[in-house]
Amino acid sequence: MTAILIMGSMALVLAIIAWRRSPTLLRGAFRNAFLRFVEVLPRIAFAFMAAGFISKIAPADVIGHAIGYESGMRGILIATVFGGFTPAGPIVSFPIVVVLLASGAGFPQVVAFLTAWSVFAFHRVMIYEAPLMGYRFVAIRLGSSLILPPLCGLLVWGMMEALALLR
Amino acid sequence: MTVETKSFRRDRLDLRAALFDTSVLVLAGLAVVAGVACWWIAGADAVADSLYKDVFMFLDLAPKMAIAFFVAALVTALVPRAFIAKWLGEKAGFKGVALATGIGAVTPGGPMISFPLVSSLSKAGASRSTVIAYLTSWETLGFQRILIWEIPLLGIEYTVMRFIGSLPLPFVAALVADYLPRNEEEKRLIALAEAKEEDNAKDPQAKS
Repeated sequence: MTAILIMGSMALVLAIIAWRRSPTLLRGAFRNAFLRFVEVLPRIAFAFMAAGFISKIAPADVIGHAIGYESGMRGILIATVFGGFTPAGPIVSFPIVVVLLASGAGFPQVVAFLTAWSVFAFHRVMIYEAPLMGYRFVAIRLGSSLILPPLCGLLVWGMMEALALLR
Repeated sequence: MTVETKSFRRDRLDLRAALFDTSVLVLAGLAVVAGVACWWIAGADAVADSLYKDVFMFLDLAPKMAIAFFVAALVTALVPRAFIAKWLGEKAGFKGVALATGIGAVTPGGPMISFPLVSSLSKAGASRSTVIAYLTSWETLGFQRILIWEIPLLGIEYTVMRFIGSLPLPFVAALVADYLPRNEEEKRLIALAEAKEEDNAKDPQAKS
């Protein structure tokens, strides 16, 4: 509910700014948003059906043991490797995240998975980055980003521990 | 992937193309296979229970995503690419990295927007650490993914924690990138930029 309120007020403010600049701008944005939404709806519906079924048969004890909250740094590293090799857009990877969380994965580990998926994005590197920026740049960027997923996982882990102490 | 590419190329309201294509068929096939496997291993009750939960999840998700897409489209319309390019190309050093991080987080759109932009900036002489900070920020702090996917699916608390944990990442990547070896071409460009800066320092009028 909070999410809807926050995003709704953002939408309202931006819509007023856009309308004051030009009503055509607002209409164009609205149409663009509607198209993208209609486009994602059937895909996300099927992706969630698949994710729901998989979470029913996923070996929760295995996942929980490998990347559960208690798995700590080892789990963060395992999740980093899996995230880096998830060659898909958000329509597939976010349902995976939901399945992982439902099957006992810890949040710091899921953050490492998400960060590795966003930063290494194998498919994006092959389609956009390598042709446009060259392999040398790709190597340098990937090299600079190697420690990011574990680092982010660790930071979130620390935050959760600190919050647990406060509560 | 294909979803994002196509929606930017299309101008007219082509609903049929938006609803049905290969990626929908692949996902539908995946759902059917997973459903059969679920029925085989866990039984018909598990299939029914899973579908029942999906309905509620979908009803919860759809309005949030609709608003998020609207916000994303508005930001795309309000923040022109020229504005991003102007701010990203000008500053170097820590200021440049901080600015690149901020701009990366608000850059709307998928890789077909950000990579051509970054490629042209890089050719125009933007520093390596600035470009890497920009890309890392766009990847990990990008508002669009947070709005459309994270808040609806993970909730505000998890989203905020991941965001805070990701804030240092562009700076770390930029710092590491700065220490990685450079080739002759990059060294030449840096020397050129430094010489230009010295000239400007000597004679501020020459700038214009």
